[in-house]
Amino acid sequence: MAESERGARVQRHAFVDRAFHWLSAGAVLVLMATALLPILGIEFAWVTIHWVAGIVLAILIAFHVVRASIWQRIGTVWVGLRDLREGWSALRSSAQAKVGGKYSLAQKAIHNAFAVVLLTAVATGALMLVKIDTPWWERDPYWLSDAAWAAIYVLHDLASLCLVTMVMLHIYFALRPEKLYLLRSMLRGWITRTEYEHYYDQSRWSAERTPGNQ
Amino acid sequence: MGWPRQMRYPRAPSARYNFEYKRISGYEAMELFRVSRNVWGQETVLGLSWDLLPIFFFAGVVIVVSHAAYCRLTAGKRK
Repeated sequence: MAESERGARVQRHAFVDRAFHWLSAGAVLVLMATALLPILGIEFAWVTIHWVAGIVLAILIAFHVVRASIWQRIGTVWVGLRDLREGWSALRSSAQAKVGGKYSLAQKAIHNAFAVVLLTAVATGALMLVKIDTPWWERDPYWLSDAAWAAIYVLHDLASLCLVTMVMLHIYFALRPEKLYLLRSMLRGWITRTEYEHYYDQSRWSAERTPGNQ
Repeated sequence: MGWPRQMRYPRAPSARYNFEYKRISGYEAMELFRVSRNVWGQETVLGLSWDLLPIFFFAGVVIVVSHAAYCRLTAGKRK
């Protein structure tokens, strides 16, 4: 294969998906900073920033769910028996295994964990908006019973604590030397043809080749 | 004024357990929940205790360090 052919690029993430990823990441980091810094003793007016970032994240997630359901294949991130078998054999094998489809078991697992945790945080956070004054309504602290609010608070806090661990792991794995090509693909959209042929089973991820620097 | 602290500020079951634990062992057990009292004097849960934050943080640190160490130790085999 000619060197120019080897250097050709395979699109992994469209611009709209990369924009969703980085905007969501920004919103999550703002939410975590405004939630956790006051706990660590750094006091500032965090409530407005927190709920505005929460609404931005909710809109982004709604957009992603609609896009993934209609214009993409939602089964791409479904964990099947084959994923579990491949994950198990990759764990037992000492050699660097092929990923197989577009996403590995680990990538599907972290995506689905983020989905559960972020949906929990957003849903409970949306309910908690009832207890603060916004431009659209006045606060109503008695809308639900104390027991219901307790469950909502505990779920919201549990989701935020889980996010601390999950964001740490996500950033660590994104910065692993052998995974930097994936970080590049999330920044610029593409992986090289060589990386595609080396890491992926082309019968399971038939990627479009994109000429030039797209 | 003369009442013991736990009588003046009745707390959640975990806090009562903590009080007993501290009385017996001399150490303070970790609280799982933040609790308060509503306008009727009833105990209400305000959320999870922020004492749990270091646990989630260090869980992340342990996984990262363990994985990095595993990769370093098996680097030769994986090439």
